[in-house]
Amino acid sequence: MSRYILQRLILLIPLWVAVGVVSFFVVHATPGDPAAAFLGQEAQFESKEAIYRRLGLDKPLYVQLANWIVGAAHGDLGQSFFLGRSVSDALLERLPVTFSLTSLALPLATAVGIPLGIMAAIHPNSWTDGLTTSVALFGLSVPEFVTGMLLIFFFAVQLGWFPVGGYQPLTKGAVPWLQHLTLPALSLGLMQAGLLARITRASMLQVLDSDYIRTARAKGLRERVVLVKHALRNAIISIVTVIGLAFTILMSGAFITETLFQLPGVGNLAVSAVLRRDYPVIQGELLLISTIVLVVNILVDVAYSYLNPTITYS
Amino acid sequence: MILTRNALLATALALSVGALLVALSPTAPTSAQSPECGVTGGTIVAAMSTNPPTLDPMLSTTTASRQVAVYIFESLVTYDETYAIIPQLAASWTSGSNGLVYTFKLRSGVKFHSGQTLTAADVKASFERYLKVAPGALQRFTGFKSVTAVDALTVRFELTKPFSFLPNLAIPSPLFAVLPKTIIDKYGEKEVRGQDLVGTGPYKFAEWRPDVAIRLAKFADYRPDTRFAGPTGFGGRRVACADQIGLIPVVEAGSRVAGLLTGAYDFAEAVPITSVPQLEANKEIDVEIVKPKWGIVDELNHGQPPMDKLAFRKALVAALDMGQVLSATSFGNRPEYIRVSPSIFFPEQKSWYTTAGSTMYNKPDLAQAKRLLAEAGYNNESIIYLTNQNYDWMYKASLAMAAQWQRAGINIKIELMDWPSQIQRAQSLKGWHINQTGWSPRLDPLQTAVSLKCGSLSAYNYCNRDMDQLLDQVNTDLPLKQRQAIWVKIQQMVWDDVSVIRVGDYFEPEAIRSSLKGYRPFYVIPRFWNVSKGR
Repeated sequence: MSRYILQRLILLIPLWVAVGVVSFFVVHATPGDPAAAFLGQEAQFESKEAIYRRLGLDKPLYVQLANWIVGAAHGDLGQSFFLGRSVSDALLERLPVTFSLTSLALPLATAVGIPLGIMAAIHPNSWTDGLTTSVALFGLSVPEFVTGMLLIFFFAVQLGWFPVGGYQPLTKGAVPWLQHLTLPALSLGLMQAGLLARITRASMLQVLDSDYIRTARAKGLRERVVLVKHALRNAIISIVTVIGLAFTILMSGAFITETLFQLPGVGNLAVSAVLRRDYPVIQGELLLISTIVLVVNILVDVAYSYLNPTITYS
Repeated sequence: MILTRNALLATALALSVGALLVALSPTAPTSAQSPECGVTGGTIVAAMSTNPPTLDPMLSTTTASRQVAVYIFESLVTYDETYAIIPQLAASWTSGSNGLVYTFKLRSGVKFHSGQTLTAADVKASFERYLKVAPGALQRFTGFKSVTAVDALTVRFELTKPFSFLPNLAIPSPLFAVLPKTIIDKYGEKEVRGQDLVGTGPYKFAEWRPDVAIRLAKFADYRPDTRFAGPTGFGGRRVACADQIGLIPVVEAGSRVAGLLTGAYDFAEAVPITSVPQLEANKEIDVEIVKPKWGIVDELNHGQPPMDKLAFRKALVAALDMGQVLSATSFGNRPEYIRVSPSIFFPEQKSWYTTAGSTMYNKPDLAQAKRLLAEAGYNNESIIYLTNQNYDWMYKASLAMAAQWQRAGINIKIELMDWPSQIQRAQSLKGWHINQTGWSPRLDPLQTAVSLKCGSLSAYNYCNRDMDQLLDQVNTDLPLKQRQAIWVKIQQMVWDDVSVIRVGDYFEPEAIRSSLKGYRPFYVIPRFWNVSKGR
């Protein structure tokens, strides 16, 4: 197992190189100009050239790429054009916010989605199934900015229970931290819960139709044991895959939710960086996201073999 | 494992429910009374629509940077409420040698936030840096020769030719900010950041967390300018009433409105017109209309056929019903937010407002448009129209104009992109004909040179030597009356040549909580000096 994990981790290196090079060209080929974002629309040739010189954008593209690769190999992702700090610092500053949001949204999604899916699967095509499926589909299909705005309207503006936005770190107390994160976590969590409920229902239905479930019931096991120990344990593989996917999506930055709730996380940073064409930050974000995707995939693979001992990696 | 996870989930849920039960506990500001402010103290929190790219006052012409700079920094001269020039750091000035020498006496005892006292050496160092780094400064100060610190409080500017030196100094785009010489020496042409953002303004820099908040703190040693009865324009007798000002970038307009309604923000910039009824119904909120704010303008690429033909450009004007276009920007039912006006300057800017040259403006005539198109030899070529949705009113205006041009038989192709892409595409000067934009109020005609002068990037290949001569004349130290007469000729020529199409005025609503006392909208910069947070 550890050999397998090591192999997968080594794979990160070619992935970083590929993502780095591709993102470099994609970012530079995108229309828009950091100098224009800096100077405003009344920029003149001379001022733009001065900005290019200051940001190192006057050098040929291959020199810029080489500089970036050499820097990245030494752990230096460059300096943000606008933030007055290194890309690594900017990302490290934003990660705790996104991680906090994920740490609330994902448990919420799991706590709501899996029971809903199980309930729907126990009595397929019943009114319970119809209701839970409708709730799940609603969560899935309503865009997160609509959910977000509705939550803000009812719980922040009308009831005044939560702030409309902003962030307080956990170090300033658990209560303000929770107050600021509850609405965005609900907005994101409900959407992911919908997805989880659908997957749980489908996997459970498939498992519940198996011979070994019939056998378990035939030998007189209690229904609860059949469901939890035999059915859910076998259905969990696909559910874990979706949880991994949800974790990746949440950690890669909930672009809309973070912007709507003014949470200074990696999603918010990505939106700002794209809007002002902060090339080094966009590249850093892509590198971070690809790393998260790969690491989470490894963790999910490890979880597979833990959940189902018949799965081994050699 | 499942049980353990369930236990964890239960804990997380319990915590969330706990948070539901905890109400926000508002913290009361520490406050005191003052004759100029009424109540002093507290923090004014303003939800702004954009993020500044830099807080270095000299580096950017963006509105967002200007909005912060005027709190921290001051200039030798500035504009008052009527857009006339008034002294700020200058005690007085004289001009001699036929307008070739300007000598400024500085106010004595003015303190920088760092504790240093303002001297002529600081002004000299700041001006020399301004010329090097400020976008457009070299073009505006072409007749500048030298600046000398004559003594501790006297600074002399020498010019090679007379030009409108004072308006050039006063225009805050970017601001000619006076910083201590020590800071200028430390940074040179690099971006000044952090605690080195030192000026002489009523508020000092406290903290900038990009994309999160800018925090400004009251400068205790600020001495209000007693030459004035009260604050005016960007200057006058400015007093820091609140202890702190927080400028929070809230890019989602809906979030700005929600925050204002809950009292999280005291002020929200650029609220959507559709939210106005809801805000007006709230007794604790006042909605203000900022006049002037945006001039809707179509910039034309004169180097791209058929835009090089005057008849074609005139056909564009002949096809437009400006009232309808402006109505589209304000959802059709809010006349107080729009104004049909052909003037590059706004009616509020009395010195420069004129309707000169507007004979064809807002006189839609399809027959004439078609005749002009035929005269231009227009053969249904695609006309590329650049626009964006970052500014909703620009987008709505573009859709309305595109429909009207199509009705006249012009084959308009809208290309929708984001604002940075649009700027870059426009400045590439290739592959487009019409660029939808908005001009913030110009404070002096000399600012129009960047959009009208031969060879200027933002003039988009427009070049008329007669226009250049007029622009040179208006950028002189002639008496105001004569400059006004020249400006009338310039605007006449703008419409005669159809250099750009000035569509009309769009005013953005902004909203404040009524607990904020003394706020008056002005220009594109919310001013929170002499504003108190009464509770």
